[in-house]
Amino acid sequence: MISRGQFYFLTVNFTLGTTLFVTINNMIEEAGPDAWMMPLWAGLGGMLAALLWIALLRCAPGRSPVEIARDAWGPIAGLIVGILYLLVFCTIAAWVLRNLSDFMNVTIMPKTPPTIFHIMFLLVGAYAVAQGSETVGRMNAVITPFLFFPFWLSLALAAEEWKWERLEPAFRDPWAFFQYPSLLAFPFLEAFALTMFWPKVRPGAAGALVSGIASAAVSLSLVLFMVTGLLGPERAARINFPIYTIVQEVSIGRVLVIIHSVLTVTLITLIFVKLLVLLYAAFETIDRLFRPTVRWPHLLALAILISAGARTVYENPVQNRLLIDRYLLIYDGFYSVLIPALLLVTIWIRRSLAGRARKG
Amino acid sequence: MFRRKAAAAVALALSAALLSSCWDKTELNELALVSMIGLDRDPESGIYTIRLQVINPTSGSTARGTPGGEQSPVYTYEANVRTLAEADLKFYHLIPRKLFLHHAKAVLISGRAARQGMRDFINFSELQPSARTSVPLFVVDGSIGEVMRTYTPLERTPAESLSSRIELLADYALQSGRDVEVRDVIERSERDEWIVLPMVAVTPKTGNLDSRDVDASIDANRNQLRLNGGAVIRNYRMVGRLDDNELVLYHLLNGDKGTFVRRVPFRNGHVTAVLLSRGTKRRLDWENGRPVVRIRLSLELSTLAMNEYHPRTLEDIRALEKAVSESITDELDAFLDKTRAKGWDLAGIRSLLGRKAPKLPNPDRAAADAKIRFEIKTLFTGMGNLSRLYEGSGGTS
Repeated sequence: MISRGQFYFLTVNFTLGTTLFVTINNMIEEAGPDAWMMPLWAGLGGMLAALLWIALLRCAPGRSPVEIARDAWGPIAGLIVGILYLLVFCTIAAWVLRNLSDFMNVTIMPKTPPTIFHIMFLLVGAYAVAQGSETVGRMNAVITPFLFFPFWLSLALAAEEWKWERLEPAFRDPWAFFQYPSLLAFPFLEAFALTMFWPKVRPGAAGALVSGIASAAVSLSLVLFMVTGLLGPERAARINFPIYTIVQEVSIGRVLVIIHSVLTVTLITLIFVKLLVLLYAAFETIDRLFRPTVRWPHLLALAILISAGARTVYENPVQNRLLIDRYLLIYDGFYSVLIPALLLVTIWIRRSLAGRARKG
Repeated sequence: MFRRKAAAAVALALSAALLSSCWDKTELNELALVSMIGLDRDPESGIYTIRLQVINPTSGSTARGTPGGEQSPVYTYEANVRTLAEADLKFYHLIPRKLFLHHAKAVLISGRAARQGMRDFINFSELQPSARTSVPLFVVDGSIGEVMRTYTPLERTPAESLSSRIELLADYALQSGRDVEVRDVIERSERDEWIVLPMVAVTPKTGNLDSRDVDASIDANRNQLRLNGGAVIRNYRMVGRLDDNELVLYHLLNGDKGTFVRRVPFRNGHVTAVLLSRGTKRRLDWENGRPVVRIRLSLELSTLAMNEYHPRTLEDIRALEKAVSESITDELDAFLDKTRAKGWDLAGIRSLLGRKAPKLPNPDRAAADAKIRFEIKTLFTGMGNLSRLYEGSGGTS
């Protein structure tokens, strides 16, 4: 069993994961100085979605969404939904890995083949997942302070560059989020993967999930606020990895000018947490669907599948952005809102029918 | 049990090999540390000339006569190319080490390239993840080739010498400020604001130009680099110059903080005031539909250099403070009249309107029409080591 606190940190770190360097510049480009309001709206949407998942999970304590689908819709439809979820988790894991290797290749390791990053992360991740949910939860809780403090410290070191006028004119477009709703999908709807942990969390974790999403939204908003105030909306909207650039431009005195490796380690560890959750979700899905007696063969198969997916999920960063902008909300909405809502409706109808039959 | 331990050992050993990032390893002694970058473009042929000043690692602060002591502390490499990307390749015809731009301390651009526009250089630089744009940018007055081949006394590399001088000029003369880096040019140009960059020129040369005669000669005014006025930049393009005196007024307006000295008319004569600028605040008001910008400046006055007069009473102090405020207001008014007549918006009025009144239909027109009022508050805070000046008759004032 993992504790509610561990589940909370898992939610926060999962949600922040790749977001910190994939969509920051998109958001600032859309909303200019008001970009920091976008994650707040998106987080609100994410919290509503989380309430839906919680309602579903509470219908069948101790069961994961895959099992709930099988109970509600029968073995064949349940299997189809299960395999669908397996593919979703694998796709997002591949996507996350590819975002990671893109970042590493562009910033500090241009010559290292991307597959090396993918395979190494997957091997370490698979090892952690094979140890079970306690290991994942505990490890994440242990590393969280080592991510939190270096990240905010390195941003705080840049505070000398702060200018309030970069955030002006303020409140011009507080509704910008609604023209860019894909932010709701990425990262907030992806947090659906965390529901695979649900049966392993101590009872009463609803607050942990919802407040985890809220904390991530507030952190993201704070990061955007700082990025805008430190880089200015003009540069931040154009630079690919604005947080990295901020820290890259920090110099402590005249000698220490390269402290961005600290930030890089923080960011890739956050991504590792996201990968870990997705890998666990995929592994758990197989476990719940087919009840295998071994652990490693299908974990290795998953690793091979995901590392292949990471090379092919998109061709280049431009395509990545188009995928997020155009299709991600539909894609994520399908499996994380539509299917759970249909499941919930089925369960409610069945229960009311059963209740009526008992009365009759 | 043994097999498990052996398997774990093998896995660890394998990961050690894979985690060391063998593809991107960089050894310090395989890098060419670039300390200064010189950019030039011939407007007629369109050929770029890129010069890199690379630190010579074997020349340390060793005494003359010891190995390495006679070597040049920096080497200047030059490449003539049609596109900027070619420069990288051209340099490897000359440089045996991997270029490392991250430690560059100064970027120089020739006056003719700056007048033509520096956007292409800046885009190229921002595209490179390895290059930082938090480096001061200087505009060269005269031949950039000569500047890149000139030593500076005292500091080991010319880039160190230049970047240290702009810091000193900002702190003690207010002739430079914090916003003189490449990234500031980007931000200001993108916001349609004006920026003034320091200009650098070569001082008269004597002796063998390319050797280290600087070290041997006692006259440090010759054979070196001099900071000289400022280049006014708008939209990545140099449009004019400011002299050293106007630079002080510009940085005062820009809200830079630093000490400077002014001769102020006071009671039928002049006094020398040491002033510390504490920054500016701008407020936008409207009078009959016309924008009025109030620029509030706070100055701290010290009599540290005032050998003409020493205030004794509260009335004296108030009168002195008033005289300073009025004199600076007059100077700033004259400076703004002169620059606004040229169409330069060095006070950033257009940008202020953009921020405070974003819905204005014709901001350019409103900015040109805007009235600027200075509210200068001078406070006497510091004095030198005399509570009363000596009063013998052997003085000039």
